[in-house]
Amino acid sequence: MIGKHEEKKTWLIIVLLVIGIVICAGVTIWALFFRQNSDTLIPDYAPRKTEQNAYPITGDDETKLNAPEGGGAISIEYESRVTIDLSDGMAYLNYANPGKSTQDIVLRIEIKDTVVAQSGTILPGHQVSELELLEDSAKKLREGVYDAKFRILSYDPKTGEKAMVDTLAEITVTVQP
Amino acid sequence: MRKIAAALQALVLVLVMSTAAFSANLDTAPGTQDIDVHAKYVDGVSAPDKLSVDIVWGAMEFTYSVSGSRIWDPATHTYIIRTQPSWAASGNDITVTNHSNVGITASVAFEALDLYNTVNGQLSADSITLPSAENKAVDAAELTGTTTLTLAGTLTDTVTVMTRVGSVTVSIAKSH
Repeated sequence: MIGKHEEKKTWLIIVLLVIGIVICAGVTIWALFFRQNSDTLIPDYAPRKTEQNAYPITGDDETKLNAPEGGGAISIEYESRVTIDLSDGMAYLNYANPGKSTQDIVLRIEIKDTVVAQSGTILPGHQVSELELLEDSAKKLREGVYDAKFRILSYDPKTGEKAMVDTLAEITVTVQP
Repeated sequence: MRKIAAALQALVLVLVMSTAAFSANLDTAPGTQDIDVHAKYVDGVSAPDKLSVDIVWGAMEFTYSVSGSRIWDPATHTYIIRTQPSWAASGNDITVTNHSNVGITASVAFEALDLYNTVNGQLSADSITLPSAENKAVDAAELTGTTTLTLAGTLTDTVTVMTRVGSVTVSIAKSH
């Protein structure tokens, strides 16, 4: 009687160990092959690709801001209300990099430190009114209103090197289904 | 008694009839009625907040110098180091100008890269509050503010060429 009891206990341990091994193997396979990294890194050099949704600012012939030698200057123009439409995966906004800027810029929309959209290079004298959401961003968002921010990264137009000064701007993002 | 009651009734009737006379203006022509017309102005022209801010910065180049002497100590066979470190800056101003139709606050912060976390940055003003540009000249002095970055701390002696050691972030928010 005692022997059968011991045998059952042994089998139970074996079954539990096998289940544990299967779970560990599954997690390892998922982590290695299927997990997607959501962090979007800040490029040290401006993307070669200019933003496809950028278009010239009508009548913008402003002279450049007077930046000290070795320094830089950007002008930012925007409305603080942004709408994200989950049905078409687009962010609708009003942002301009006026011609008086001396820097190319890359615009990011960040919600709770998660980047949901990042533009290509926006040249001085250009503006955007829509940006494509990053892949999988739509899955992270639900209908509602979020406190968010623009992160404006500045790049030297000659060297492409990132400037020492970044700019953040508070915005409100409304997510629509 | 009846007479008094009749007199009072007559008085009441007169008073009731007279209230109708107050309902019309005295200069109203017979057979006409003036009706008051009320009006008010509602501003239906929307003016959404438009933020327009210029940010200008200098070269942001800093030189860490160490001067002093190393005195040989025969007793310990080591040098006694007497040095005086100092930082010199070039182009370390950050200027913010507001052209928005709302007031803004620009918060400025320095953050060292992990590799150079012995470097500390201090700003002469952590935040700059600027009024709305409404009804102000484009070059009005009150629309511009400047803060100056100075570095402190130490820098390793392996950094002998200008190297990025950190960055400055300017955060723009509408002021309330």
